Amino acid sequence: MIVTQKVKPVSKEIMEEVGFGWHTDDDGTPYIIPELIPVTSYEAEAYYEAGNAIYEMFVEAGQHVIDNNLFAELGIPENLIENIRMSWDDDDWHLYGRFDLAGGIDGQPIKLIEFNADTPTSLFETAIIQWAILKANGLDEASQFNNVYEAIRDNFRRLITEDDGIEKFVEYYNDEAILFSAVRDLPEDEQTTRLLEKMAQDAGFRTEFCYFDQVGFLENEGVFNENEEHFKLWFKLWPWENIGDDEPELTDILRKIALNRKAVVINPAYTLMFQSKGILKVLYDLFPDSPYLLATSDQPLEGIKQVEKPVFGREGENITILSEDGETENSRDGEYDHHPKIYQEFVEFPKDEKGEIYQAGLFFAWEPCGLGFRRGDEILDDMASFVGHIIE
Amino acid sequence: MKHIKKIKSYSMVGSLGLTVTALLQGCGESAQDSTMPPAPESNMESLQGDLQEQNYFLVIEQTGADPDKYQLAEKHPTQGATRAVLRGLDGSETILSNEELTALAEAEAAKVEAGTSNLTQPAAEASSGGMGLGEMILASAAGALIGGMLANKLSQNQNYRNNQKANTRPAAQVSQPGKQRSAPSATQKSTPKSGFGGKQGGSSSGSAKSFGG
Repeated sequence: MIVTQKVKPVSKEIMEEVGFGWHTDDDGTPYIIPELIPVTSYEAEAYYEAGNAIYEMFVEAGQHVIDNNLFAELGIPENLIENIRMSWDDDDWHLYGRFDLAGGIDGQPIKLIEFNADTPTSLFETAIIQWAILKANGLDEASQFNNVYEAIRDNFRRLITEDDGIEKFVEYYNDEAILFSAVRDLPEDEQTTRLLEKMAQDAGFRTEFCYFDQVGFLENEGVFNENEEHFKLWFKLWPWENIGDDEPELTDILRKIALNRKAVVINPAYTLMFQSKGILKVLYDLFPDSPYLLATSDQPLEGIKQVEKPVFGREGENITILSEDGETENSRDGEYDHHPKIYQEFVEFPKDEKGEIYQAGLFFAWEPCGLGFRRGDEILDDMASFVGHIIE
Repeated sequence: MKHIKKIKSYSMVGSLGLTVTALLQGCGESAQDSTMPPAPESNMESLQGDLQEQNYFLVIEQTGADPDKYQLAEKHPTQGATRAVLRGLDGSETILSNEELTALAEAEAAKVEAGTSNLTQPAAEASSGGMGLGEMILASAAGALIGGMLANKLSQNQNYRNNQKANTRPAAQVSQPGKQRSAPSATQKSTPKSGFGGKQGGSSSGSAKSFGG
């Protein structure tokens, strides 16, 4: 049973001042819960170990997908395969991702639910807001597994230094600028993108921001902002599968830009392999004995309670929980039903006395770097809340 | 062997750390604070930066009492006004506004003028193990607080420079890679066109609240 520690909330005014405007859900309830989940040092360390082990398995699974041409099984649009292969072969840098995990607290084992490898959010609340809760309550700021800001800042430097060590950044940096883009009129996406832009500035990069509808592309030259300034690095908070499905012309231009080595996109196209829940089956096929993996198949599992999920989907949409007899126990509608499905062994999440469940979000940027929790109903949706943690 | 890292300095939450701390203490001015683009940061370059009135967010730690001694823990370039977090011996934190910092710096500058400040004494004669608060502040951000002329005058004083060098190197400092250069001009032969066909990439006309996950 999860028992949280009640704390004083950070005021809405302060959250808005730092750019975090989505502190309240549509029904008027707070998205940031003024409570902290107690986590032991041992538990925090176990999350760290799990993140590293799971990422290594993803890298092997990615190579397996590429070697065996399993893109269709992952639901990946055909027009993105070449981008994925090129970004993989070029070792384009994966800036950051977030593992969603069951367990890890309350005596329950850590199990991988999915990897938000391409366009992870919850960044602001994990990196900044839960730290601010400690500050607002006079709590020790070292009592949190949270160096997300520093880790992503350093990983920006590795876009230039790669494996040579971030201290080489000053020597290697040659004024490469990063263009950051988000969809217009989506404050959460824009502010998440602008937070990443700030991290890049702190890393030492020159940066610009413009909305997607302002970005220009030339297949022989690369990516441009609305002032026709050229950029070798482009960060996009827009899912690769949407680019492939909705923007075939752009996808083709991006393929040619990659072929001509005129720009690098962040996160790279190969993160779509990690993002697809289809890779959960590949992982389980390759590593059936891993303590972190749940049994997963592209066919219904025999005789066990399980969860049916589309390979691409967000905010709990089109998730169905099936009993061991195959009966629907719980489900949510949504707009992702056209994607292929996977079937993942059901696992209980840690719960509190009200029966609300807690899912850990573990950020990964070169290494695991920060922990936060989402709280909600059995199928977490866009009404789930964020809860910070404190290491006891 | 422990691997996880925890927040242990303001640099780990970037410039937003100061903004949050200032707001929590009810000092909300210049909340849209943000770090500057890259600036040089070796000691002499730092002084030259001061002379150009580079503004800083300082974290000053008290290291001793009676007489009170301080050391510079963190120093970050900022586009907002120069401000500081003063961390007491008991771990308490107080925000020093630009006005408070300026008053302390001016008082110390007057001592410099009168030849009574430790900053203009040979380093060996100046007290060791930290500096007085005014000394620390003036040595850390003279240009930003008292203006270029007096700061420039100070920088001519070898003792000041030695003291500044010895005492204000922050224990933690965001590394500042090379100087910002002007943007290279694009060499496009034709006008780039947007590849977005006016679907979700162009607007959020759909029902989505976020494309993140």
